[in-house]
Amino acid sequence: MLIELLRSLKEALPILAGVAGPLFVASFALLAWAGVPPMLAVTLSWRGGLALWTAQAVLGAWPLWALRGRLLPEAWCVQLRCLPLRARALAWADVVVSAAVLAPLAALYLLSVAVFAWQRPAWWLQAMPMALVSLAASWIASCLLGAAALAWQRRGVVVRAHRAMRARSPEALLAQRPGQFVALLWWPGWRGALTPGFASLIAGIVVAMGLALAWTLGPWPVVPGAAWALMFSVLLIALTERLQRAMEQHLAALAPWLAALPAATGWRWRARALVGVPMLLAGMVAVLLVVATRPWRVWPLAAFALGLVATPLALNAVPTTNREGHVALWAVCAGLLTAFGSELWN
Amino acid sequence: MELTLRIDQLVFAYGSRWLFEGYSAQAGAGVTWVQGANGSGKSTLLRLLAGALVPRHGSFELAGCRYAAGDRVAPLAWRQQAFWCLSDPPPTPWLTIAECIGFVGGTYPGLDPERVGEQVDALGLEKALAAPLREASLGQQRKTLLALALALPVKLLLLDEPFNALDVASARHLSDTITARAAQGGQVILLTSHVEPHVPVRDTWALD
Repeated sequence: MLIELLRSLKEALPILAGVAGPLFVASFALLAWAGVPPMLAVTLSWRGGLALWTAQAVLGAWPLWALRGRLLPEAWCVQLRCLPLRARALAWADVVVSAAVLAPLAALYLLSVAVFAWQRPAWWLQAMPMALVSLAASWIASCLLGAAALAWQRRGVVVRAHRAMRARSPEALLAQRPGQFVALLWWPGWRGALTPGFASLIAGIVVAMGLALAWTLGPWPVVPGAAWALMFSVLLIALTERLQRAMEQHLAALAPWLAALPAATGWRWRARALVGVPMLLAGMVAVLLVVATRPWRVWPLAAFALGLVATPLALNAVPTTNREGHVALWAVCAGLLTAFGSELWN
Repeated sequence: MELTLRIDQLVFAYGSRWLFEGYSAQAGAGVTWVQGANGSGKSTLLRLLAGALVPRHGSFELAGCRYAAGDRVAPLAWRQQAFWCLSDPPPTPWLTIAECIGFVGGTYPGLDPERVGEQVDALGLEKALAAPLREASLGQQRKTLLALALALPVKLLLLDEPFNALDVASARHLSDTITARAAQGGQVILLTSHVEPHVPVRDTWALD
């Protein structure tokens, strides 16, 4: 998985360096902020502090939840059930794997502490040493939550087996006639056959809507609107691109078999249309928020909305196997959406 | 008029590896055993006839319906009268066995639920219907499509290594059903197998 990621980064590097090089350098400054929420939490009221600390711990554990299917494939879970392993050993293994996956987060927190120790802001010095304890506890909590996600993945095998045993009569089961959309696109998205699955996509769309909310309401004036617009655009483009990649692989595996069935080919177009849903949903919410929250002008808003529609169409037109083309599209679309978004109130 | 499948001047290659260069053959109702060494094109021939692969040249004809190179996909009328039972498990591991039967069977006109139920019972699948295909055994995965193959009223049945991974009782049921179908005479059955099948074979196609 790591090699796959590094390979795709290597292919994308020339374009990223050319188009977004300065942005990249600037974004390193953001790394120092990674450890701020847990450290800041000790300076807040207990309710606000606990909420902030919990949110960061949950967010930190998210990679384990997202990768649980790849870290513990179903076949392994079945094999694990057959091995003479104690429950404690399995739980400990989950924690170790979780800690290994979250080791980069620990490094990021250390970097954050180093930067703050160097800059020595007053609030941080006053919050010491509880701030460090809170940061370490946040990472440990993320590891434990990640281990819980892995345990959940292992338990899933048993739950599905029990569900199968509670099944209806053979006649009722054989009377089912699932339609093409449900059988070929909807169920794969919910049953772990697509990566990202629909649950992860919904989480991504909700986060994008949160970014749109922060962008339009502007609760933290220190963060410029363009930064929110950039984060909003990049997240949605990433979701669209990942979904497109998953759909292409899914369709390639199914196509020869389905070509032999007397089934209509409408599901192919529906699969393509599905790729644009995250961007259109979150984009629609962003446009509605813009209209509802501040005075707006027609042309910049129309250009932004057009960009939201055109981006999935452009990404769909280029297969994901063309990596350079896709990275270039990423950069251009993110740049255009950010620029259009920044102009909404200027 | 007797039911006949005609293959005329079939040309097909995977890249530069030619498998069929003007291959012609015909088969009447009953069982035709397609035999040949590994890589000789047995499964490919069934894929071509099913419409899963597109021929470079040539045509197929059955019961007045023609499918020729140049058609972007096999005509709907062709696909409605042919069923391909591939040698691999169905490529929908997220579906349960019942859902797979329902989805695939639902695409064919004239599916009789009672006949499907009979085949499911005869192949010993009734207790596994709610199991996801990815958790089913290889034999159960193969029986999923075989139950449909034996229940659907199609004119062309393409069975790719149908006896592989089957238990003794299921293999016997499959042999008996194919034998009965062949005696009725309403179906062209193309069957690939490395060993001689225990069914009355009307014709044999040997691929080089």
